Amino acid sequence: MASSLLYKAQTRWLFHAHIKLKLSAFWDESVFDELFAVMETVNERYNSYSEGSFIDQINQQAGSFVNTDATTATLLQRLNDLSDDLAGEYDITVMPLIRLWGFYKTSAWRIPSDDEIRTALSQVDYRRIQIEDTKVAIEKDQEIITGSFVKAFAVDQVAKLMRATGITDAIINAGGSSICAINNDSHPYWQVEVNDTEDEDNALFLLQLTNQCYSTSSNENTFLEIEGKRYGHIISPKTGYPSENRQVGIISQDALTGDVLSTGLFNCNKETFLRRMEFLSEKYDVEGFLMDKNGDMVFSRNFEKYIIR
Amino acid sequence: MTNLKKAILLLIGALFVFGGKDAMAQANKSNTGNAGDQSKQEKTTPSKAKAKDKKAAEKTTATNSKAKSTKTVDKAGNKNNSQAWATKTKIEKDKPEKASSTK
Repeated sequence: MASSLLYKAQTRWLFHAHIKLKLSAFWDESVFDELFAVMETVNERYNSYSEGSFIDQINQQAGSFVNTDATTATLLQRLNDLSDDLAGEYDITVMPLIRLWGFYKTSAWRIPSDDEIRTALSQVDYRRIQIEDTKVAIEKDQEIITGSFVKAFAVDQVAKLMRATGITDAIINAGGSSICAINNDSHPYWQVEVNDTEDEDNALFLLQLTNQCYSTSSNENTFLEIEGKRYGHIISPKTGYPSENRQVGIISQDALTGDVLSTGLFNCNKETFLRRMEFLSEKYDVEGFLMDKNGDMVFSRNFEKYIIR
Repeated sequence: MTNLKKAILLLIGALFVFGGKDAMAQANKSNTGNAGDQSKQEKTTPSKAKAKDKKAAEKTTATNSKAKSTKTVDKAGNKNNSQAWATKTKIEKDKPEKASSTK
């Protein structure tokens, strides 16, 4: 049951999403500027869509090493490790496929030919990203896209600042796809409502989170409709085709891990999802569910303990 | 001003702005909450809280009008001319956050 505590909340537009910060009402609202400034800094430095960001420089100078910063190098290495753990079903160099399917600034909405997909797939491989200290290089025909993780990375940075500032009762909701709960003894959990993406009135469950994050991937808001068939924007870096699953939700200890895993696992079938979750739950302390295109759901071993309704 | 007076002023202010039951619960909770939040509690005066009128609480907050610019300093000490939106602060209760995929 929700408590009667009061909170201050501000919502701003960043990363093409509404970012909402909500914290105990007795904090002065000037704190919002400081917290959002952290997100803006992440946006400026690490978003591939931000001109001049480190990732943009890496893309612009593909084929050569680019001097970045320690954060970029550490972040890219961490993403590569997660890609390994997902057996390559997550890949930040997937941009050629995103462009091919027309999900980036084009209206080339058509089903690509097998040859086109093969060519794009040959450019996709996170293992070809070279990281030497703070120098990073991708191959000439490669391109990194940060859309699947940069927002969650920003959420983690804000959560860190909140905790360092002494804010111990708050929630960050980044576009609904990355939610981070911060709790203290007076308010031991936050609730997150998860709905069926194809039927908003159909509430799947209410989750209870304590100092945890919830990430979700679906084709709810971004898809192409070609000849009456819907194609989602999450494209498997292994097959080159969009996944047909309906939704994946992951509860994690940090937003970045949850966001990356939900994206990669979205490309798996139910059996593979369950198999991977056995390993991932052990390694990252995560739980989750997958809903396939027919609406059938599978849960990882301990996911249901977070469901309160 | 003694801490007791401050606490009484805060309580009266909270009652005035937010109404009885919720504010009492909030004041009680904040007194048993964490030290960081309590220290900030003293900085929020009743008059400031009053300024967040009911209209602000009802309206959606994101306007993206980039009406003003604020200077902030990040952890590395770099000055950052971040754009601030003409935002409004909402007062909200503890309620479920809705998950929805935007990526």
